Amino acid sequence: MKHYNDEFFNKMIDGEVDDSTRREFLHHISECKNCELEYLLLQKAHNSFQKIQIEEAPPTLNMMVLKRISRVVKPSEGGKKFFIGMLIGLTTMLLILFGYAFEVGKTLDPKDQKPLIDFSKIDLSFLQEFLNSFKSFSAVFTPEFGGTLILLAVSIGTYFFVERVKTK
Amino acid sequence: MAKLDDLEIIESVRRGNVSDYSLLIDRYKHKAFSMIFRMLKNRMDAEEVLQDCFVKAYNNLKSFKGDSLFSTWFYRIVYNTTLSRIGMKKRQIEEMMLSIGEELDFEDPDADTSGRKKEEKELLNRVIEKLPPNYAAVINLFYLEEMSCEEISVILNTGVPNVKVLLHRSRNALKKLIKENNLEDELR
Repeated sequence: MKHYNDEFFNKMIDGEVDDSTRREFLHHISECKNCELEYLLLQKAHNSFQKIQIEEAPPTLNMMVLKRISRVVKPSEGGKKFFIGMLIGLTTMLLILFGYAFEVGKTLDPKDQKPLIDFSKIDLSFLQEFLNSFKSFSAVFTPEFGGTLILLAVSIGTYFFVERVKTK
Repeated sequence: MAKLDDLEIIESVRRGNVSDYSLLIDRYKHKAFSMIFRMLKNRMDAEEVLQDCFVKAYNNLKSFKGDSLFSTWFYRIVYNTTLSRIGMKKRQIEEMMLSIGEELDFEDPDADTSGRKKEEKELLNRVIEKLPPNYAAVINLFYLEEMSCEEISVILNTGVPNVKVLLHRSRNALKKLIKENNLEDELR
């Protein structure tokens, strides 16, 4: 009588045995108590492994990982973005202020000793004029605008230079 | 809200939503921890390695092309990082590790073998505690993650026959222990 071994039992459990071999084996274990016991033992081991428990990860894991990620990656990138954003915002404000001062200046009489800014004379149409100046490409490159762009470029350059010196 | 799949979460993280990475952590942390803990046999080391794995995966998300499942890619990081840690602590682990060619021996010198039946769970824990790292990894991936031998072979960077050998030897070891503890009566 041919007996079976663990290698075969493992294949049975993994479903790697063809139908005819399987039938032959099932017929065999109906008569051979030793092979049946060995097969059932291995089946029990397999079933036990299926009940293997999940070990709980520490509850602080997410926080710790996100903290490490932001410490390594975020600050420099975030800082750069914040700085560039601030520079763009400041430049825009400067442009508006220059434009405003220019418009108000045109309406002031130098001999007049009134205050520099007469709020009763504020005319918001300068905003419209300011926007109109962008309609023509050549009108954009006024000396004031060019100066502001240079200021912006120098500021960004200084920032990167300082960062580079700091990292070295 | 529909449950996002791994790729959708990765895309979101790549777009700058770093906090979405928490969704991936939640999805894999317990099973990855189980695998690392069973490979290292030390909870504190396992916690550190688990953190390292998630940070490494985040830093390398750009290199994840989506050719394979994220789980396969991530578990490769987990397996290799854990092996590196074991390498660092080799002297301690060496005594515990058994070479693949050797027969696994799970005999407990303190065990009372006078016919007292052990709980199945206890036996399972005894086997798992003594499994060498690569065996523990296979058992976790096969039974907890329900991965195929092919997927596991990719993670372990080995052949499918080798994965099957590790799996079968682990089963045989538990079978031996069940037999030694006279639990076979419950089978009939």
